[in-house]
Amino acid sequence: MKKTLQIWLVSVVLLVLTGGWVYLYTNSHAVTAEKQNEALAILKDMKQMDANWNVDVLRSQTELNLDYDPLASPLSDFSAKLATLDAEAKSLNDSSMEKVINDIRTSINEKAGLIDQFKAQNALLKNSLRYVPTAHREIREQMHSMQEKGKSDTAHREISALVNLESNVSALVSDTLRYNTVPDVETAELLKAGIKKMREDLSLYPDKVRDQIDLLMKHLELVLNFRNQQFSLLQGINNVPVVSKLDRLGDLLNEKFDAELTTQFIYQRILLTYSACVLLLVFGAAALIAYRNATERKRLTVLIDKKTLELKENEAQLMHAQKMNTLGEMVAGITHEVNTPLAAIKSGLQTCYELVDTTNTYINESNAFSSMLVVPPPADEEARKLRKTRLGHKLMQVVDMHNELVSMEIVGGINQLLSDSLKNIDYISQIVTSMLNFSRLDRSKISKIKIEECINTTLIIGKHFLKTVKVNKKFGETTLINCDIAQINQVLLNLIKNGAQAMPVDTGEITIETSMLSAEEICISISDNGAGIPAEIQEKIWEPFFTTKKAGSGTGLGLSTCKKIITSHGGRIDMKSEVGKGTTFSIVLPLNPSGDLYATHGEARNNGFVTAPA
Amino acid sequence: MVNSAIDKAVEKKPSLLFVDDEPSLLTALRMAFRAGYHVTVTTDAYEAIELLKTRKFHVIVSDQRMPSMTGVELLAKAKELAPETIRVLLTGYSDNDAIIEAINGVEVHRFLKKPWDNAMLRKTINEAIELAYRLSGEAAQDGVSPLPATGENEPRKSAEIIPMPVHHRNTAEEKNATVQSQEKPTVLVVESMSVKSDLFDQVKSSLGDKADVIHARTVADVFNSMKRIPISTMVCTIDTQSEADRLFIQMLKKDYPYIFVIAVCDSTDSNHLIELINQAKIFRFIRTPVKTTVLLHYILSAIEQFEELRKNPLLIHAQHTEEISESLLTSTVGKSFLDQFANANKSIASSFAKLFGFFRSN
Repeated sequence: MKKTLQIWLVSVVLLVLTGGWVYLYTNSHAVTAEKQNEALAILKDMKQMDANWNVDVLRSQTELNLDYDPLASPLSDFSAKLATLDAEAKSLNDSSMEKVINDIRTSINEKAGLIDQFKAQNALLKNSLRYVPTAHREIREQMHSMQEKGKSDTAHREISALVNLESNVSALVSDTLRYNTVPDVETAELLKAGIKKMREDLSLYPDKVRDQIDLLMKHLELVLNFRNQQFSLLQGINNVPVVSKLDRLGDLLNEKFDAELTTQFIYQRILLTYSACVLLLVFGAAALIAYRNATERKRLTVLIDKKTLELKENEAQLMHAQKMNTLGEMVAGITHEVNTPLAAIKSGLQTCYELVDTTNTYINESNAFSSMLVVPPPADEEARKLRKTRLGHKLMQVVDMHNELVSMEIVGGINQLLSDSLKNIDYISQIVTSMLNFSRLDRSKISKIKIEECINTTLIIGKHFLKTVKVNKKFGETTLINCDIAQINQVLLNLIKNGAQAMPVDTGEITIETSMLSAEEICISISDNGAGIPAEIQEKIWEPFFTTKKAGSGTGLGLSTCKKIITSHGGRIDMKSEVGKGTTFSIVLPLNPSGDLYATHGEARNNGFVTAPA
Repeated sequence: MVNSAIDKAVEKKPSLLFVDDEPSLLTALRMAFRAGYHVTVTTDAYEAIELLKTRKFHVIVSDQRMPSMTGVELLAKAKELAPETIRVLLTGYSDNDAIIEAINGVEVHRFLKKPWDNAMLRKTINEAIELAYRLSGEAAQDGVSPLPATGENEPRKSAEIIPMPVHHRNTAEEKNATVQSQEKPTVLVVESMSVKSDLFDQVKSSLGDKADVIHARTVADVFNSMKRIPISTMVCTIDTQSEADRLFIQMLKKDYPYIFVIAVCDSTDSNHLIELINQAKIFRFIRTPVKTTVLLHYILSAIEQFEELRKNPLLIHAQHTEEISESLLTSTVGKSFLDQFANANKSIASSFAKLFGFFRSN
């Protein structure tokens, strides 16, 4: 439970950290100049357009543009561009920007309006300007023709008046044209006065030209007015603060951009520190983990060493326990085997005591009788009679005793008991010798022996559980084998006992065979016709503490220890079994055991000096 | 003249059957009982079975460890074929399971260990023979003891210890007694104060209303219970290691051989087991943990046996025990028990009399 909680916690923390980092990262790279540049480009475009517009207006004014399209088209372009900016502003939800854009729009509309006005005026002005020279020429021609005509018949005065008039008109025209070019205030005043004078003097002019002059005056007035206005219009147009407004927008955008850049920069800074911290954290964590790993490894190494030592000790204890088991087994066997002959001996000898006692009594009585006989009979008849009676009684006693002794075959009986006792003592002695042979307490650990001897010794030790079992021995011709005899006996006892205990009563048979597997190996097989071992536990029987016996009866140590012993000799042990048929254990042992065996016994293999390698 | 004496003796001699796979042992046994007994020996258990079928023996003694079958198995057969033959088991190697089986299943009367002392052997065999005679009703009719006068026999304390039932007819007591014998039997459950166990509950729940169950925790409790109501069956937890426990049971059985004791113990030291059997004639042994079915079976068996005993009072001799050793009786515990028993016996006697319809003849 705690583990899952921990994992959840760590995941959450990691998630938060990552989230934070991602947030910071996005925010530190969010700002792209693209939009900004786009906007600034639009503004630049608009500025350019505005400049072009101005130029176009001037062009119109100077008659380089004859059509007024360039004056009208910008409006829609501006609209479009403004719309884009508007959209941008809207998307940023920037009210100040929107305000500025509206501002710009207003100015542009203003400008457009002014330009329209200009357009209209300009058209008229141009129109007038075109008319004026033509009209003037016409008037001049007319006046000239009149002058020419007048030369012949009118007064000189009329002609000079005409010439004056005409020069007035010309002057006016040229003034006007001059004004048109350079619309300064003095010229305007002059013109105004001139036109006014002309109008007043109009009656002086000949009829023919009066209308024309009137018209011309009109036109000149127009020129004057419009030219005047045009200047201010143009100024007005110029003054429309489109550029400044655009610049303002540009500044605003730049401001914003800079602000964004600054925040971005801050974020970047934060990100840097954050990353540094996280990195530090990660390194710290890594260092901590590494440290803990190191200490843990150290602790584990120490633990492993300790455990290995414990294991070795346990193994040794296990082996020892098994040895104890075998010893116990031996003691059990001995006790029973020895108690019976002991009982026979004890009882027999006690009975012998009694029998000897009885014999002694008989001897004494016989003796008494003999002594009575030896004494010569007395002279006295009475005494003689008494003596006879007494003798008779004694004789009866002795004869009875004798008969009793004969009937119980006392001598034979005593002999039998004594001989049995001696035989049993020999038997006990044999058992004691077997014990020594089995355990090899008094001999060197590793020595040469015939394997059959081991088997025979073991069979004596195990006699008590072999009572109901028939043992078949099939011994082959085998060479002396070098081994730890006590251990091999232990193995044999174990296997034979297992076999005996698997048996059905009465029909149990154990067969023990020995043979040479090869020149250097001996094979021993112990088979029983018992219950067999089921396939599913056949692998398990070699495990220590595995037993099929009831709890408390077997310790299950046997087979694992057997295997250990055999393998330390450099041999191998196998088992074949079939349920209902029986089990066979086969042991293969080398004639000379592996070096390990000597090592575990702490003995050195002594090569005799004759056979030692040179 | 001499011969007729011998013949007479032969007719009168008790017959013994010894079975062991070791011939020299049989020889020793034969020689030990050379005079005054009719001895048959065999190394073959099957031959022994045949012999049991054809002849009457008073006592059969068998070794436990034999090739063809175990002693317990042979004695089981003997119980079937000749239930009146007293069964004795020779053990050389203590085998607790076999011993318990011998008691629980086969009702072996006595155990003998190898090696033995001849005097001890003779005493045991003589007691067995006496038992055999008593059980079969062949009581000493002409006053001559069937046992040879080897001088080793101890004076017949046995006759004094087992009271011979004396019938008093037509007394009010007896009329009450017959009425009482129809009542439910009572089972006494004795548990030690210190050990926690649910034996009492187990007994009570398993018996249901087949019998009354009383609880006792101390010796005083036991006597009190016995005073109040006659007990025929006792289920008792015994610590086989405790001398006091063993002594108490032994003394109880000595004075009240009618009580069938079912012993519940966890450890089974073979020496103590043998002692308990020989000296206290424990009816059955149960090892902890106690299986209720087994317990119930044994209790019912005990009740049954008691009914048999009531019908055939001679069977009481089968409950005869060995002498308790002097040293035990004179120990502090022994003395205190003797006092307690002496005190209690007076008052308990009457309740037992009610049970049997006769008085204890002291």
